[in-house]
Amino acid sequence: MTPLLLGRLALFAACVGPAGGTRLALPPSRLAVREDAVWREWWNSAAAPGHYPDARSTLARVMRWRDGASGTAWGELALSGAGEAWRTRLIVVRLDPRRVRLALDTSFADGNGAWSLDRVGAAAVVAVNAGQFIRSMPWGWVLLDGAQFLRPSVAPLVSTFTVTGDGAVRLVHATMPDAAGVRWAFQSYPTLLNAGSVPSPLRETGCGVDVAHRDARLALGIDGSGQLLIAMTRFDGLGGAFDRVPFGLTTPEMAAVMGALGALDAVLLDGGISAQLLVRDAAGVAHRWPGVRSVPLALVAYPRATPALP
Amino acid sequence: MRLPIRITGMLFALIAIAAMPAQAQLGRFIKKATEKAVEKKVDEKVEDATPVAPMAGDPVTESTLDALLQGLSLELETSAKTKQLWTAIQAKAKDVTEAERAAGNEPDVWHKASSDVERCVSNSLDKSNKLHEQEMPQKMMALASSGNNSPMIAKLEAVSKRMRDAQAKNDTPAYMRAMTDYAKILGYDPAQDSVVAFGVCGKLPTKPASMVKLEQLQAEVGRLSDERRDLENETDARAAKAAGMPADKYALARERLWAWSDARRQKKAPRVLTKDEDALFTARASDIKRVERMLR
Repeated sequence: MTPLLLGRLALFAACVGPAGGTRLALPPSRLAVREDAVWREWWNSAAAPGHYPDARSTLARVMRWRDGASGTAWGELALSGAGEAWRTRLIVVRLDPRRVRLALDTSFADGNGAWSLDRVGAAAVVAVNAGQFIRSMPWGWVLLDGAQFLRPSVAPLVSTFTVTGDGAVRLVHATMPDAAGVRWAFQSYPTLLNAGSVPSPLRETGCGVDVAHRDARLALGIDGSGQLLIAMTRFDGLGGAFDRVPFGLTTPEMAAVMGALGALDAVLLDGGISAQLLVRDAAGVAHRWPGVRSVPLALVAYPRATPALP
Repeated sequence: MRLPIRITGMLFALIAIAAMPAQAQLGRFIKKATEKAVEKKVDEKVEDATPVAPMAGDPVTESTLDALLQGLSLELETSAKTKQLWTAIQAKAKDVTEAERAAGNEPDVWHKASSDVERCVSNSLDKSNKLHEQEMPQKMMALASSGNNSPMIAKLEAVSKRMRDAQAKNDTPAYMRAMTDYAKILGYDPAQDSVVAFGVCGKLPTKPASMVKLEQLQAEVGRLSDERRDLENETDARAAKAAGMPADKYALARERLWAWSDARRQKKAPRVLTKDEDALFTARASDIKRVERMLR
């Protein structure tokens, strides 16, 4: 779990800026992607775009998508901070909400979050931990099959993911979405992209979001064609050789990753040791990236044809 | 200045159709969380069995551990209440499940009947909105060309501000009141559109008693769950304070100790920590044991 408190401060992030109005730049960093055995730099904090129109979907073009079950697709990329020691593997899943049925799953044991990939049944085609959590309970709004489990929270960098009864998905930022017809919902933070734009607290230092902290990341986004994107990073180092070196991506870098994958709207989910993902390929084989920690809430996709609820 | 009449209409539709069609499955889902059996894995490939990356945060030192243990001791104080709340949530979720069973298909029948009315009302409001939109250019022209329109514009600006303020506060009733006033200034009455629509389509069916009971129980599960979450939240903050650490540093240190504890429970090496930390935690195992249950 990325410590929730880091994020909680970020929720109310407001960039007042230093005296004199000078903007403080992001900490220097660069991102490169390995393409045909060559590292190619595609993002630099000094010239980080504030907006990601579809045309900037650099990473989506490099990705070699593999067929998943029920119209899903997934792939992996190798990322690197140019010139730095660390390496990050990026796993991306793409789902068409028209071809899958999305639902939330909860799990508690003795009152503590107990969901892990071990709970994912054979019918699921994609499963991922959802939202953020406090000790044992999910953070923010949780709507389970139309009934409110936990009340909502609204703040400038909070995003709400909703699934309606007919399967339409939305990511709404900084405000409560219209609940009409919504069957499943959860909230998370911070918002990474809002209609293609990177929120200002992620574009400079000192606006309430820790833009330097590196960690394993997990994010959820929706691209221009309405497809759902799930992106997870994994450490790609050599065992314990780098055990004192900061690894993983920063929040602004993850916003860039989502934008470069083609997402217009995106939000960070609980990463770190909570991040876990399962994808079933077209042959029915489940590919698992387990987490270390169990969580209370997960987003699970089933084939549309599956008749009964999980 | 553009009147968001379409939104106004939709808002009034929402007022009228106050209860959204909940699927009444909360009890089942929470209950399932504790009872669902793990399905047998048939064919799978673990791509990345254990993330071996170093954990986020600074390695825990002797002094950090002392502070952390103080915080965890404070957390112990609320553990009984947290557990009690969980027991209450489970019991209430069971009541919800029973209420769902008792309600049978009554909720489905009610949802079907109410959605028929909703659809009819929505169509009626759409027609009203289209009419208003057609009339709008003329109304705005008349306003612009009238001799002294300053008071009217001032009124519209004041109501617009109320709408913005209500939106910022996420105060839906206040927002809708402002919307109504805005429309009325321009000669419309969205509430009247709603009255007309329901006059044509009929009233929403009354909810059966079984549904009312079900929704009350669901709300109770939500209230208890919120209470438990609030307690955890508050305990977090107090524990960090007791430890004398910034909240984020406390959370990171706590997570590192959790990783050690979890690895020990599973008889695995805590590969995400440093060797020094592992040695420190092992040396202080008896101190940690006193508060270890807070880490689960």
